[in-house]
Amino acid sequence: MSQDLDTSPPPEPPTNRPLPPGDRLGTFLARPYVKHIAAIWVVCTLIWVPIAYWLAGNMGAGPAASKLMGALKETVFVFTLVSAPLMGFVLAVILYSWLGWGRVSGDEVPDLKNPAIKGNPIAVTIWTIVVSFLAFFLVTWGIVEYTVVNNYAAGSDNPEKLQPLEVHVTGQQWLWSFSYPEQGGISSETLFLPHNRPVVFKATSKDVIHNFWIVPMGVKIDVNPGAVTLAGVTPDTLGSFPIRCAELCGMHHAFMQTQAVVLDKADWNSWLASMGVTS
Amino acid sequence: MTTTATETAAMPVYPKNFLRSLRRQNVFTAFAGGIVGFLVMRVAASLFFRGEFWHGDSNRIITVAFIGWGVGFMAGIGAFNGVFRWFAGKDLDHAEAEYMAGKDLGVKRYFRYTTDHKVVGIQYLVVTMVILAIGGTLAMLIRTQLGISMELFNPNTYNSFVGTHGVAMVVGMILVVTGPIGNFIVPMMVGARDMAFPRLNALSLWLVVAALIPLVMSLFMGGIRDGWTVYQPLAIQAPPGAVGYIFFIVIFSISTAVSSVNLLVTIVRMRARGMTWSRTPIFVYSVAASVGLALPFFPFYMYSQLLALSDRTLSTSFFIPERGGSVWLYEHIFWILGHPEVYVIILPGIGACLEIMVVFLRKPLFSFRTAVVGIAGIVALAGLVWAHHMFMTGWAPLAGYPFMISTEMISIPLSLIVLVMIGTMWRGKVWTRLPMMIIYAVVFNKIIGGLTGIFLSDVPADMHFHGSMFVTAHFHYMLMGTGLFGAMAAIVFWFPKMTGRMFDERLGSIGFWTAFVGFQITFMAMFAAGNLGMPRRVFQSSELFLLSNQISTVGAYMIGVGMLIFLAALISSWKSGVIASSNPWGSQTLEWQTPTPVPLENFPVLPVVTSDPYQYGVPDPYQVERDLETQKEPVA
Amino acid sequence: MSAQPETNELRSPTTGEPIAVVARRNLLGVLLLIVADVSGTIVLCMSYLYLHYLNTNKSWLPEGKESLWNTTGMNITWPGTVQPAVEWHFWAISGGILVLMLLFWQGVRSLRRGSSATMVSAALIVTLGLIGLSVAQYLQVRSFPFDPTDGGYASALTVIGISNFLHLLLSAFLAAAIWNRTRVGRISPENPYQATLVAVWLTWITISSVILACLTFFLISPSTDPTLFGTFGS
Repeated sequence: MSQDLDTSPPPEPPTNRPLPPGDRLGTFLARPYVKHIAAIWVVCTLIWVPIAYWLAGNMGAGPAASKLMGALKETVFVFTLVSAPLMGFVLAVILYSWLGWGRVSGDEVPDLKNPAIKGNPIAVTIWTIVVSFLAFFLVTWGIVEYTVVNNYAAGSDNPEKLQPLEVHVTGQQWLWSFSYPEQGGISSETLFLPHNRPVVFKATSKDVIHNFWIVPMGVKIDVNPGAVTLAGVTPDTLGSFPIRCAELCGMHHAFMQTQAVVLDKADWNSWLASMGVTS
Repeated sequence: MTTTATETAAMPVYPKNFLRSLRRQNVFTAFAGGIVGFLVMRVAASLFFRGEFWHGDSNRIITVAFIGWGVGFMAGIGAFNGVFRWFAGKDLDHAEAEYMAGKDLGVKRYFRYTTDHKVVGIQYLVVTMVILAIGGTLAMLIRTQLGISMELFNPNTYNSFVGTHGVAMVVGMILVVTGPIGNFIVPMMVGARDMAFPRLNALSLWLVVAALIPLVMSLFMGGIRDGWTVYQPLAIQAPPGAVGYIFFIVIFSISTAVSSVNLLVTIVRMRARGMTWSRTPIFVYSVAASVGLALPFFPFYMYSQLLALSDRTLSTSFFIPERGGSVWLYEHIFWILGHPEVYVIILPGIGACLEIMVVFLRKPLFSFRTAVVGIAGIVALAGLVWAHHMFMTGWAPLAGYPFMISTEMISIPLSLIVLVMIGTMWRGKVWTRLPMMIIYAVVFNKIIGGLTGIFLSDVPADMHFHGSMFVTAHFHYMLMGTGLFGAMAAIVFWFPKMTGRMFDERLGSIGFWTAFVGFQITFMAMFAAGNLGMPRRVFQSSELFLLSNQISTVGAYMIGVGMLIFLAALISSWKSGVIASSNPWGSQTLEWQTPTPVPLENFPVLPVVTSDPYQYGVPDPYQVERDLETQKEPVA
Repeated sequence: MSAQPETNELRSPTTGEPIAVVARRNLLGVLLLIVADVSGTIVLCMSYLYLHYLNTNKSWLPEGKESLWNTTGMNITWPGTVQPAVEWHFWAISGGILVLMLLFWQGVRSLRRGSSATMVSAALIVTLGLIGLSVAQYLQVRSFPFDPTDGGYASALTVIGISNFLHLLLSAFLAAAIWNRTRVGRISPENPYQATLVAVWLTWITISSVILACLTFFLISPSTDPTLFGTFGS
């Protein structure tokens, strides 16, 4: 392109010395479209803030029923906010391209006299660094948070360092059943859990793959035939929470639901007593 | 781009000695052959597996009958003629090859085993439209059921709608750019007279047609009740209709392998003189990347289904845990294809967008090399991320770490392609024609799909979203919002070259924007439902999700109406649109430099390429200014 | 694509392009098809080894079971102890393919040196040999001391046998075609590329067969305490 320079007149009389880098950035920022895009960028980024709040707030249709779920909500919130600037920037550029830099319609091929920008090492480098940094952040966050979540699942978040309660989860078409081996193998089709005591779920299936999902507790694990899978949580909210099957398991997959009921110590003991367990 | 005369196109005159049998063979003899083959093998199988004609092991009988269908169909269309002639040493001479390419056959050539890549492209377009129409109709039925709180279908029927919708759409999406555009345009874009292996090209198309019938038949034999992933051992409980799915996938995989080889060899070996890799259009790169991924990975899909078929018919136990099988084995084999397949779908769409936006912005690609690096990066990483579909299977919890890393790494090459897109838009006036407008929609959808993909690639967030409607909405943003909309841009853009008529952009715009708005309504509401905790593939859901489902259903009807309008625009423009000139968009790629309608061997004179096809625009004034500054300033 | 070739270089009768150009194109095509077939072999190895290491329900090489609840609804009688297949059968078949492959390459080499006669006889012998090997492969599958229903090991070996069998039949067809085409002069010292392509394919078949035969090194599952179906213990 530089060979053609002699024939095309410069738009402004050139100065006799190159601008220092700071000034070059200054002239770049002074261009009108840069200001406009920056303004749109800010707006497009801020759009994501309420979205992040809504997403994290409504995960599982309500407040978290365990610290584990809290960690999941935090992850979604942070990821949305961290990616917002990049998403907002792309959105701003396509909006400005759509409306801002001018448009021509008609059937004839127009001569738009657009600048032939072929590559811009600075832009590519900055973009790559920003994106790589973002990806690096997401990976790091994911690794740390996954470790945290695994520790929660292993019962690290219970205040009194109680021994985990083992619950055997059996899935079959289209029914959940739960048995408590330490309580003499009593079994139930509703999941009863003690408050603030870690629980370890061992899950297996009698026929096809199911997925055991206590929605507001963030417990989710496939229930496979021919394998035993593990999950765990410490419920820290009293109440009743939906359990759904999250893996297509045949005709009544949609209705393979039950409740997880978290009981305080007195209710838990009386439930055990009603099941004939003496402790 | 300059073309010069290098070789004349005159052909030696051969005596007319056409393939006798091929003359009589067309799609009707194919169907007749298929039906005869099906019935003969059906009866033979019933006799062989004695006493089992009406009852007993129908899996084996159906399998054998489907094989009869496939062999009969391919024999009826004439796919085996060439093989036997090759065996006998009677190779085609030039006149025969031209006859097979449909010379002087008029409309008839669209109904035969025609080797001309342009005919195959049009055939692919029609077949893909049929597949997408099947999938779309089922989508409407699914959404209707989910939008009301009463039982409209039997749950099993509903599940088979879900499964068939999934597989039809996945296959339709794989075909929609690579089939019509890849076959019609790519050979012309690289400056070749035809594909490398014209007869394999016809083979790949007719295999898809042969495979389609068992898929439709399976709907009436119990259906595909297990989602398009047909997880074992649920699938083995399904009635013999599932064999239709297996047959469809196996044949389709063969077709994909054949067509991938064909496109790759065409791209690598048959580029015009002077078309170095740096002068090859970016769309060609994206198609090569797509088929380059499909080639090694599709056999995994095929073998997953062959092993499932073996479990059904030979009572082996690959996926039956009571007898030593493993459900994780199936999931691995399936997803080793299953994730690269996503890139097989979206890469040609993205490549087409890059190729198209250049024309409507009259600007060169912002950075050709960055785009190539992005595509290459996706190809390199695509095979290393499959297990993120298995984070919640309990297969190996620690494997979550490496697969989380590899999955999030893939956002870097993908973002490089986005950079090239917005960089090409940067400071450019835009020629507002429909394909360019669609590209804005594609980039928007890609942002949403990309962001939600970040959640799903992260194990902790996936602990909530896995298996929920959130996932469904996410991949619809990627596959439909990016892939299908990109394909719509490509079809509108190349329509003048393929049909010789301009696309009716007024009607097309109404259709597209209706579908776009409906798309946002449908899948934004679906994100909400999934976030609240609604599992995928459910038949009915609780009251909690009813509102978002109703909104989704309204949006889905809007998509349906929009797509029908778009289809009407396509059909009416094809029948009676404005006659197009040979290069209505003023594009510089080779396919626009030939006359429309395109002559049999594409180029009267083979082109010679002297530069890349992106010589648009004027020198950048800011750059000129800066160059002058640096030139005048003595080095200090 | 010119009407009259300037040199006496051999040209394809179909497109009029020089044979060397067509040969390069076809070689790439065959190599790419082999890439697809490699994936198939990987799946077979993967399923064998995966089931081998998991030994779900102690059914890799089951040691006698009572009747089972069966998802397929088929009438399956569970065997007593399953005996492993005879190992040297695998190696004999692989060795046979290896010998035939070398013979075929020998034919191709002499074809390139200018003699069609060796190629004709080599291709004929290879065709008959491959047909013989596919019969042997069939007999091997039929002579397995177990049924396909007898657990993971039996399943994997049966399907590997079927895969080998189909590969052998396809290769026999290709070799027969080379025999016939060389005989009628379509493949000649000036135009030998299709014989080379089939030789390349046979080389891959040999490699694939040897890889699959190597699976017999992994017989007894290392998982001695695997998950039992439908229970929480092992």
